[in-house]
Amino acid sequence: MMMMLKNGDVLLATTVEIIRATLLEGKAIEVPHLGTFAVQQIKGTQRLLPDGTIVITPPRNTVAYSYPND
Amino acid sequence: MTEGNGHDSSPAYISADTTVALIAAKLSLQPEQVRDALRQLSTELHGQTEEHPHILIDGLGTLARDATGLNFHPSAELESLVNGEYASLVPVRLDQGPAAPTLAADATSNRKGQRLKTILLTSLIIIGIQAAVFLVLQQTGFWDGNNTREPTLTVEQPSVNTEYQDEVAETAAAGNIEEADTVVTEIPMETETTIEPETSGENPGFDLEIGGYAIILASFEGAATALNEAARFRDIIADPSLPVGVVRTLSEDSEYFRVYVGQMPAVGEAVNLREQLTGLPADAWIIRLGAGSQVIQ
Repeated sequence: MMMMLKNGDVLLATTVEIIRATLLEGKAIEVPHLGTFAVQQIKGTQRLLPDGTIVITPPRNTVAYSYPND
Repeated sequence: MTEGNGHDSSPAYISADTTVALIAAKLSLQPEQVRDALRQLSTELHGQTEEHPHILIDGLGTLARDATGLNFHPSAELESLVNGEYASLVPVRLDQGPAAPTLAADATSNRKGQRLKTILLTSLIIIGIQAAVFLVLQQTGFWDGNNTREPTLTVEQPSVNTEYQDEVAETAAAGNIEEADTVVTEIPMETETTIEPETSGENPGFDLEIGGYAIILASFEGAATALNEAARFRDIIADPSLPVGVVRTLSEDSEYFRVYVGQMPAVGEAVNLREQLTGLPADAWIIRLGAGSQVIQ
C-alpha cells in the first residue's frame, strides 16, 4: 500500500523544491537525515547479441539516491 | 542505489550545511531549527515506511524500504527533466546478418542505375550537339550536302507570279523545253524587246552588265506607284548595301513596273536573302535580270 505525502508540510515542500532545482542544474545535494540526491549519467552501451544483432543504448541521466549516514 | 554519500569531491555538490542554510533562508528559520525539523521529518518517514512499503513524495519520487534499507525512485516527470539532453535518443537494434547483403545489392543496383542514367544523358547530349551543329551549318550556308536548298526552291515555285508562269509557258511553247523545266534555277531573262529606251536611266543598285537574281517584292502597271513602293521597302529593309529599286518588264504585251531588292549571282543566294530579310511580302518571288532588262531606279 502506498502512502502519499502532499506538500502541505511547508518543510517538505521547501525541501523538495530545493532538491528539484539542484537536480535540474545537474548538481548533487545532501539533505540531512534524508539522504543525498544526485544526477547520474549512465553511459551508452553497444552489445552484440548471439544472432548478430547489435543493440545500441544511448546514454541517459537519472537520479541517484544515497541513504543518509547519520 | 549506493549507500554513503561520497560526493564531497564533486564541485557541483551542495553540502548538508548549505542545504540547511538554503531551507532556513526560505523559511526564515535558524539552521538548528531546520536540522531539528528535518530530523523529525526523517523519523516520521521511517516510521511510515514500517507501515507503508512505498511512500510517494509529490514532485520528487517514491521512497521504498526493502532488505537493503531505504531506496528512492524518482518520478517519471523528474527523471524526464533530468534526462533532458538525451530525451530524444532511443535504443537501436541493428540486424547485422541480413543487412550486409542487402546493402551490397542496393549498392550494385545503384551503380547500374547510375550507369544507365549516364548513358542516357550522354546520348541526349550528343544528339543535342549534333542538332545544334546542323542548325548552325544550315543557317550559315555551310551545309551543302545534297543541297537542301533546292527542294525549298521547288516549294517556292507556286508563289511565282502568274505573269512569269505565262512567260515560262511561252518559252516552252517556243521549243526551249530545258529553259521551261528549270523554272527556278534557270529563270529566263525578262524580254528586252519591250523595253522603252526613253525610260532607260541610271542604275544605282542593280548592275545589269553583271546581271543576276533579284527578289521581286511587288508589280504595278504604273511607275509612280512602283517608285513609291520601292521607297517604302527601302525604309523597311534599311540596308544601304542592298539595291532596292524598280525594273520595267513586259509580259504578255503588258507593261509592269516591278519593285526589286538585291542582286545575287546565284538563285540560291537570292533565296537565302529572301529568307533573311524581314518585312517582305509573303509572295515575293525571284527573277533573273540581265542586259535586256531595264532598271528604272
